[in-house]
Amino acid sequence: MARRYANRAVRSVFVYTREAHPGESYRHHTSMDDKRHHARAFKEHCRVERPILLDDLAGTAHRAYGMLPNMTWIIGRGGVIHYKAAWTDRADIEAALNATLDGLERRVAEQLAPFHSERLAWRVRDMEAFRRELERAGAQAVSDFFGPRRED
Amino acid sequence: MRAISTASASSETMDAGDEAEIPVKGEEYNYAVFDLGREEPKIQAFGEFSLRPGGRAPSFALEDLGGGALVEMKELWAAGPAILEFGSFT
Repeated sequence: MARRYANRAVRSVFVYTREAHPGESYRHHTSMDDKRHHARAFKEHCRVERPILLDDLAGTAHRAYGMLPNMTWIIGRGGVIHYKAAWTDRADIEAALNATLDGLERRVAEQLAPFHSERLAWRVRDMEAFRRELERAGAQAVSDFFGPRRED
Repeated sequence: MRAISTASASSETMDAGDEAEIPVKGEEYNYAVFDLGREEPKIQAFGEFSLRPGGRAPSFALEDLGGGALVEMKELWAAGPAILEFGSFT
């Protein structure tokens, strides 16, 4: 998606935060080196092509933007917030970006003015896929979320 | 717990009156154990979180994983819109 919009001066970056579900394989960060190591693994495993920017160890940027585990924000030129989402959903982001770009292009010619609106959006929540991601972090990450495994 | 955002010295501060409604104890940020009871209220409160469309995005200096250089966030939206996804490997 980032490539498709690159010719319209749209930048796309991934801001690396604390580990949302630390486990034995990917523990909570105790240093920036931990964070760099995890971010490199993420980049390689998920084939991330966008720039990855590391928040500081205290999570200064993450906290300022709401501290949720996988938010997406669209910021317009000059720093105006256009879109704020609790989760990252490609279709929802693309719709929001198209609306933003469309409004900006038509703004002067059609005398448009921005206004605030809010709505609920939908995302797929595949719990089995999510469990597999937690397993990659470690058994502790799985039990922290789903509860201890019952021994039958 | 309400607190003023403790932005780093190299960042712009938010406007007077803006508050981060997020606990700021450094030792709690990088938790070792995920606790849904602790984290879920933040998701529910996100809509009321002070930063929202129409407001001004704060800028902080972040380290570029690619080369180690510091990137000021406001450079990302200097020429056009920027999409920021926050997340981690886990």
